[in-house]
Amino acid sequence: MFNQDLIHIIPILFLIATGLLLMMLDAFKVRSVLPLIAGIGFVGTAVLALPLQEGMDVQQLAFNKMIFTGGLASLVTILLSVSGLFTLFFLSDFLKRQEKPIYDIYALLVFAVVGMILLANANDLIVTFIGLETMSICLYIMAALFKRDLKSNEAGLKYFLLGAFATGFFIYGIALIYGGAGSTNYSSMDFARLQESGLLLPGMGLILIGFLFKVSAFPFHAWTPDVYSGSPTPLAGFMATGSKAAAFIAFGIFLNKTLPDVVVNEKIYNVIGVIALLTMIYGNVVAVQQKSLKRMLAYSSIAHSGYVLLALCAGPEGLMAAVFYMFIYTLMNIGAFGMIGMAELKDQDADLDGWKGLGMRNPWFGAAMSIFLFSLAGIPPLAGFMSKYFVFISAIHAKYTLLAILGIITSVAGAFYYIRVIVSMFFQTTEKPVEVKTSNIYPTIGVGILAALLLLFGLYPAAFTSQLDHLFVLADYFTQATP
Amino acid sequence: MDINSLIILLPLFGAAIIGILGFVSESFRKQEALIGGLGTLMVAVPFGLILMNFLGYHEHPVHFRIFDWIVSGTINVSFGYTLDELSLLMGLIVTGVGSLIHIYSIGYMHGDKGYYKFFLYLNLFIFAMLNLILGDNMAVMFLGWEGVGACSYFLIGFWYEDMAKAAAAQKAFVANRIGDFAMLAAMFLIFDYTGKATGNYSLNFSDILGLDWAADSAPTFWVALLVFIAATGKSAQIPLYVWLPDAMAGPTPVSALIHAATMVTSGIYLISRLGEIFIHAEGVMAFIGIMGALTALLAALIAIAQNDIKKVLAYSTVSQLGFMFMALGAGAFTTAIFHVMTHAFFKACLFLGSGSVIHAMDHTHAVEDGQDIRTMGNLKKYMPATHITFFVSTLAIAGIPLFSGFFSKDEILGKVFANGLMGGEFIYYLVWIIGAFTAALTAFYMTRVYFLTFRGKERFNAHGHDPHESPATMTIPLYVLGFLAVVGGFVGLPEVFDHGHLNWISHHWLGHHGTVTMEHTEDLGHVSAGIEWALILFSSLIAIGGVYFAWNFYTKHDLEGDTIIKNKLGKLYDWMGNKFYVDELYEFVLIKPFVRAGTDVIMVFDKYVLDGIVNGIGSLTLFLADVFKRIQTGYVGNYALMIVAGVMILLTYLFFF
Amino acid sequence: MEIFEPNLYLYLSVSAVMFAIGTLGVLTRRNAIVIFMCVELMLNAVNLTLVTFSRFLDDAAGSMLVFFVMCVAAAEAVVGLAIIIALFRNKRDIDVNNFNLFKW
Repeated sequence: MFNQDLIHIIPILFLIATGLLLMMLDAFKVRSVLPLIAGIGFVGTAVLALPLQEGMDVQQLAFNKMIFTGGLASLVTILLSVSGLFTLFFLSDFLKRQEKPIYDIYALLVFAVVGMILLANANDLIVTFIGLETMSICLYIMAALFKRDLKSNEAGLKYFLLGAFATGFFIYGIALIYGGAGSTNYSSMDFARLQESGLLLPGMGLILIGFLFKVSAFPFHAWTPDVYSGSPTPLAGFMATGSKAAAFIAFGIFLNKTLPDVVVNEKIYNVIGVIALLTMIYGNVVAVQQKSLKRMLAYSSIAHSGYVLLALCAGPEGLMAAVFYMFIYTLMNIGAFGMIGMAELKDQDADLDGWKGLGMRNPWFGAAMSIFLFSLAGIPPLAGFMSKYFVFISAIHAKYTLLAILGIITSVAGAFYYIRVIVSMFFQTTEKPVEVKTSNIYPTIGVGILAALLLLFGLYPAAFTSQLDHLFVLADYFTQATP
Repeated sequence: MDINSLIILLPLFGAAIIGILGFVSESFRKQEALIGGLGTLMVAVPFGLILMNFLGYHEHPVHFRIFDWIVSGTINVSFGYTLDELSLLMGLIVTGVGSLIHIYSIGYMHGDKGYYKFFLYLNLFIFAMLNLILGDNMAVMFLGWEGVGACSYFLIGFWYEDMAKAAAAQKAFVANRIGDFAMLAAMFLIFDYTGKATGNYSLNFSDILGLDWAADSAPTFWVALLVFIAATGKSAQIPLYVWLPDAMAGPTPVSALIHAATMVTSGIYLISRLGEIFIHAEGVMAFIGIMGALTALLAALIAIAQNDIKKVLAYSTVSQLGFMFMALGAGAFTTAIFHVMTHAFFKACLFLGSGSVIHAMDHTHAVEDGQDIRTMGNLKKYMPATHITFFVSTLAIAGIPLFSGFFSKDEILGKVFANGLMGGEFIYYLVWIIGAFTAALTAFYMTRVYFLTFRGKERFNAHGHDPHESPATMTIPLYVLGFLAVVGGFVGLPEVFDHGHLNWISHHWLGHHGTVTMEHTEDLGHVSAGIEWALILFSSLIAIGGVYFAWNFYTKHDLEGDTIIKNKLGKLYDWMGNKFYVDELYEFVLIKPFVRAGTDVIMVFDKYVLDGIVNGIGSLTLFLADVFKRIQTGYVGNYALMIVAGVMILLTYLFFF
Repeated sequence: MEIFEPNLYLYLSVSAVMFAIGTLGVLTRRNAIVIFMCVELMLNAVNLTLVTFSRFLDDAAGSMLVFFVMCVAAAEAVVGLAIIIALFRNKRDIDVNNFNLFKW
């Protein structure tokens, strides 16, 4: 029995071992191979998670029903490893050009992904909490990575203080749910008792706040722009994608595991719906005003959180749309942040002004960046369009038609600031142009793969969605009543 | 993957290869033979594949799917295709005529600086057209529908440096947009109706046609009307036909392929495909018939007074499309498709012949405009191959017995008459009368064009640069199409022979397994053999009479003939020459008021209201952004306060509301 | 509401009050270290709630979670203090209101 459990979590164990190895190698000053080892770790995890064996495409529970493995959980593991892997493509080049020889980051990146995998595959609020904190602590350090740089310090401080603060609410919520339901495990919670005890609403509310903070929903979003602006650019991309994807999936699982069994679910869904709308409006509106590209993408990531929150209102179908959305968003946003990093000079912020004419000076760069931006804006035939489409269609199926329409309006309005960047890149000139000078080939390879994937999933989303559909059915999500 | 997928994918692949190589490689652009050969191959192989399917067809449609496009809980859109009787026949026409025109273009476009782009667009057009006719659902069909429109737009404006040609492309684009809008509306209605009727939303043709469209008259009526409006755009009927004559600004092979043989017939294809819906919308059917007849008559009248060889052919295309719509209006869907086929042969041949003539005339450098028939004459002497093929195609379109056009046109008139006789609908007699008169006009103006171009006096002064016959790549397609124009009609012998059992196209192919609905005409039964013989005799007489009259008239008077007609008809001839001032009418009724309103009334509205709204939204967003961003003070304490405020509001709502 | 014993509410109230004090501290203080201490106070308030429930439910999971919370708090302290030290090195100041390079 115990053995079986260990076999189930082999991908996570492999990644943890990789992380430990990276720390050792760093300690013994074997540093040139670190990115490669980390890359092998991510690829290995993804491969080990592949449901190769017979019957492995059914999601199962391991470790006393604490954690999901196989099936849908494998898919999630692969997605999160992919986010780590693509961050890696941009990282070593970025650190070299910024002249910051930091090698702890590879182990941190690996451990952050371990935390994400635990968070997204938890069937128990204890595991959710541990995963969330493992991930968050790594992210705090990432934000403050450049310790002589005041901006990075400030980003780290803000992220850390507010993150710890929100954790307080989150764990308080867990404590109250535990007190009411008699367990922290979704499989053995006593929902009748929870409702009777009166702890349901405060518990639910406080846990929601923890999740809403992590996914940077309005009004818990305030840390996002400051932290992303101050963090090293490729890592900002990682924070905006991987950590949010994990938090969203955990959030979705939480809602789908608890809400169908309680009577107040409509109330909770209304709250999330309203927050989704505010988040979309806030993110899109403020992004228009931004001059710094990183800050603009930070606000845009707030807006994107709004869309995914809208999907979470829509039950299992929405969760499916959210998983697809976060996967596509991971691909396009890591690409966009990575490319901003590629054009960033030492100790200088990426300013829209310097990017003017960049597309004419460097057509391949301009074309690839346009793919990412068009995809973020949700313009067909790129994958960003398909992912938005699934989100809005799931919201409409769940009768959130008004929210879906408002969401579509904000996303159309939001396209403006992405396209403004493209226009600047191709049709304007500037006095102080930035140039793209990468120190190795990896960022270029990463950009190529990401752009190709966005085109592929835009033209042929069924390659992914049919599989997703299949796994969701096997994971038994559709037997529950939809809200 | 199914081998049949290559039918769809090869033209796309060809377009991609030619496009990419042409874009990156200067030297590739100069390899005319390679580009042309590759382009042709990418259409010829699908032709072969369709032919194989056609010959091996065994009563069961072949389905194949390239991939599922969108798969989501309730919606499933896939790139699925069906090869059934109707789509196979259309596919043969498109790829067959398409291959010939590709070959022809190798010679015709020689030396053009956009050579590779031309073949890129042609291959892309074939790809889109195959999507349109082979698609098994309306989403794929619509993709093709838009695709052919876009290719047509690119190709009309192919020589975009010329402002008039770019304007013609714009006009085609706008007219097609109106139709496309109706198409979209029809698709939404169909989608909605399938969902309501069966609980399963679908755009698949099999699901759509499986419904009982007789049950509810309202959606049936609107769907039929909207599809017809969409067809008037793409297939150039009143009131949207105005773009087609202007579309002759494109290279002549394009006129032959897109604006005569294939794209413009897609409206007819679609109505035939959805015949099951149309037969339950009788009012719309009568409307289609009368609109077809009026279009045919109007276009034929205009064609008589045109001097540009391509303009005459363009108006004759509009007129012939009108005939097809008459057939559709009478519920004779198979007959309409039959005419699509014969028309593809003889009209493609005529256009390619005109291209050959223009090629030759431009070469002489003796005339200002190589398309004006008044400056031609006696080209028979210089261009024997072009002459003979043009001649037989003229006889075919005029409806001379035993040539292909005779069979299809006679069948159309017969079906329309039978509809009037059996259904007792007076309107169909009117349609028949107009149709018969138009047939006579057709014989007359086509003979005129032929005569003024190839016979009579030599009205140009070549100064030693005699016009010469075109190269073999151009004449071979002419011969093939000319041959088909002569014999193509025998697949549809009149009903009177062996009760229609010799009419292969209606009885053994299209109508055989209900692919194209025959119900309407079958229900009406058949007119007696005597009446049918009389009708055949009558059609023959008007065709022969028209040709004979024109022949004698122009032999006698040559170019003076036009002046005589002009004097006879007086004011009417001026109207015909000026295309009944329809363009001017549209200008006056539609465009001018908009412009004037734009300068006067709307200007004010625009300035103070619309601009106000647009700028207002812009400044409101900026203002809001300015306000909202103040929330982001940069102080950790304020951020924590926001979180706590959020907690308070959320918990208050959860507890008290 | 007879599922809980009356005594339970005393413990829960103490814990809630501690949590509120911690929250107010975070809102009002400007020294980064004090703010962090207030967060620790909040976490400890939660720990009190957890052990209370664990005791009254007669279930070990709650106590177990307390240990995890303590571990996490310790880890956060390590990282947090490191960040604060880095800040202090660069700026000789740990008043959070003086850190707003980023705004709007």
